[in-house]
Amino acid sequence: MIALLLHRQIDIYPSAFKMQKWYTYGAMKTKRPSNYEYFIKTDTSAYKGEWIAIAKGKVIAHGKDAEKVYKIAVKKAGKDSISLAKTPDEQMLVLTLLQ
Amino acid sequence: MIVFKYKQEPLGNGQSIARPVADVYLKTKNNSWIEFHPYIDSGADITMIPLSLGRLIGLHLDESKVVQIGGIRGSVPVIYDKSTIKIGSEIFQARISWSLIEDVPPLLGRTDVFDRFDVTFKQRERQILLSSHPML
Repeated sequence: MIALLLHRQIDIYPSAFKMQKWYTYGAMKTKRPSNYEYFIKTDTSAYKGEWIAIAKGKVIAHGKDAEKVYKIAVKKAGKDSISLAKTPDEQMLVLTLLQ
Repeated sequence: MIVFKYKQEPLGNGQSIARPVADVYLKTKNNSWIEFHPYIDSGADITMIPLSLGRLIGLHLDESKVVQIGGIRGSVPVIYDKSTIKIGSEIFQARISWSLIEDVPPLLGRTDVFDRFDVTFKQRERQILLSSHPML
């Protein structure tokens, strides 16, 4: 009986585990990336030298002034879901590779 | 442990480079939080924010407090201030420099930040690891 139960546990748990992983993977695939993840992964060079406001997996406002960009973004997406990033132009950073 | 990543950015000559980027919250004078993504700069003595971001968090220009700080491209007028910063679940006071020109990158520098975290750059893995100092 004990052997049978052990056998059933070994048999059942791996399947349940796999299923749990599958559901987790499914959930991760459909989950919207955080603003940070979006910024890391997205080519933002179209906004060279500008501030961008990110919310809900996209750039929702951009411009030269962080304050103005943020205010426009708040109107579009609300206060709690926005992040700001500054996209560099070629001259902005102090040390740049030449080759 | 907080894990930040590198962002691949174009250099303008057809090439690109990976730069370390953080996810940081700054507390405004109205007690709300502004999330932004500065570069992590172990060569910067202090965290620096551009002019318009400083205005957004409610900093006020006091001409008597303006000082010049130096960089490779010359000097930048700044005002030193303190700000409440949130990185991961850690909330703390950090000294910052508020640039009075816009054309500077937002930088997460060493003062108060690197004192609080052990920072490990794992460039090959495109990750930066921040672990809270055990004494804090």
